[in-house]
Amino acid sequence: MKESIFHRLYDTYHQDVFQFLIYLVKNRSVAEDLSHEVYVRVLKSYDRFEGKSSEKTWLFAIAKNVAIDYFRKNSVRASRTFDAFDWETNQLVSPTKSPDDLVELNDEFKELLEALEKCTGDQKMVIIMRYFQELSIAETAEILNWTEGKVKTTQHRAIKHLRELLTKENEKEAKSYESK
Amino acid sequence: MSQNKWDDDKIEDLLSSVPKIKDNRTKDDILQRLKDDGVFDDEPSEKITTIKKKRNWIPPLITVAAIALIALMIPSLTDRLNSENEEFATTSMEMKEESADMRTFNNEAAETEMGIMADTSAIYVKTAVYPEDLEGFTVFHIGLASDAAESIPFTVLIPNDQVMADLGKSNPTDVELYNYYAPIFDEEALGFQDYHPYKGTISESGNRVLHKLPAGHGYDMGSGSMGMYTGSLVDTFRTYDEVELLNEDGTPVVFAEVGEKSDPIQLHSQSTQYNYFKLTQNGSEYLSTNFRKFYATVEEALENMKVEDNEIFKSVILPGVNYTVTVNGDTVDVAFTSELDLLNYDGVAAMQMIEGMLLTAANFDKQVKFENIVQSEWGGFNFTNPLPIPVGPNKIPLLTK
Repeated sequence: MKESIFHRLYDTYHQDVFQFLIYLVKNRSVAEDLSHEVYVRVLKSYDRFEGKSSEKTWLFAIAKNVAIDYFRKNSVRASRTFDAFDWETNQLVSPTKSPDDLVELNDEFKELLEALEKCTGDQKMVIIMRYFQELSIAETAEILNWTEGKVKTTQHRAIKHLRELLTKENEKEAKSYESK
Repeated sequence: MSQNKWDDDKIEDLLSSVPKIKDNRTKDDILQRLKDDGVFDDEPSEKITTIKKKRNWIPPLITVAAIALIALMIPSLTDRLNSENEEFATTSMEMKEESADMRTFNNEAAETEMGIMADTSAIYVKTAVYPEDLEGFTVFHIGLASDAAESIPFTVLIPNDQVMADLGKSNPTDVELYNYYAPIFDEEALGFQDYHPYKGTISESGNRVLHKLPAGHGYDMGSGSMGMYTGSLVDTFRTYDEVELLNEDGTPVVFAEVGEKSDPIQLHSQSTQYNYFKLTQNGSEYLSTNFRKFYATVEEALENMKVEDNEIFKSVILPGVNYTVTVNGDTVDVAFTSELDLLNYDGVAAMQMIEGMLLTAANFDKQVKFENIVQSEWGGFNFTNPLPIPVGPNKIPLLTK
């Protein structure tokens, strides 16, 4: 029974969920561990899935929680404090190097992804869901348990923040180039 | 390094074309790891069925036990229920009286509306507050929290008699008005979130508002909360110069979102020179800034009212309508390129455009003179003269909890 659920979920969503995780954590083996954890939690609680949301948004909501737990653990380890980790405010920065797939990207993509790391957690999450995963506003809102308005606002602010970060970075580099 | 200019379209195009990253492991590898972890071990489906069957007995048993218990308790319960019913009846009466009060209030509000718009047709209702509306009223500004995590500015007119009765003085400051009315203002009745009063204390010193924030206030939780918080301060304390944010011990606040000491929030600077768009909240349309986007000049602000750059705030400029903007001292001339017959449009939409422009110019302390409108008078406006600078957008009555 559970095995057949696994096969169906894998065939339908596995690569999407994996990509969502790897863009969040930027490390292939961490993304593999987290996707394993997603299956563990999904299969454990599948009989409690009530169909209030779609299977897809339910699965992504679990993947999001698994990723946030990972960032929370890292944050506690790094700061050695047990202050509440608020993913919306904190930057969701993975402590590890980028996977090879991202190392070979052109300069503009690299700059953009570096800027994304400097955004707040809520902004990074919405950008990955809306643009990388091509999830709709309604799906994103359901996964994050937000209103659709909040998703639209956060997306708008994220784009604005990225533009400001990238423009600033360009100006900085232009200045250092001139001074040489 | 890229020397190209970054704009929103380019960023969105790049974000939409990030490379797909695949998991290189096989399905069998992934399944095997789950098996190794014992995820499928507790599977025997018959066992689950048995447990479920057993559990299914529990609710009927509880029901039977509960009925038996109630039967035993009925004699003593009856007395209590009777007295509770009486109490309930009294509460219902009070509630009925309250609804009657509410109806009277609504009727009064409706009559006031009718008085203001007596000279015009009902379909062209002004939504902003103008100097002529202030006779006998005190203005209370407040920024309410929309579903879009953005503050929407509102203007409440409170009868002077009520202010006198509530605060014991006829000319309270805006901070005094806030501290009295914000806690009892019913934001949810208007379909907005319960956001006010602010956590901590609000006081004033000359033209400065001081907000002392308690630890764990949460106003810096994510970009949405910060934007809502600063926007609502700007919308609520419009008559002051700045808001200083302090910890309870008087030291300057450091916001998690910013990571450094917070500068006072300027309430009248270039960064508050917004233009106006419309937003739908809970089925009603309101005029609002467009994510607090600001402009250096009134010409730019008015020109950019045609440009929609997000899915939340919609332009109030009527479709196909163009105009030029020229500044003459304290007046902005808005000349429509083709003669504009306002009667050809939906009255509400036409009013939103006119008022949106008036409110935008008001953020630059300028009044507007419209040129090339067919009607010389419409919706209570006399287009042959420059129109008055509005006091504030989105007029609402004082709704208390």
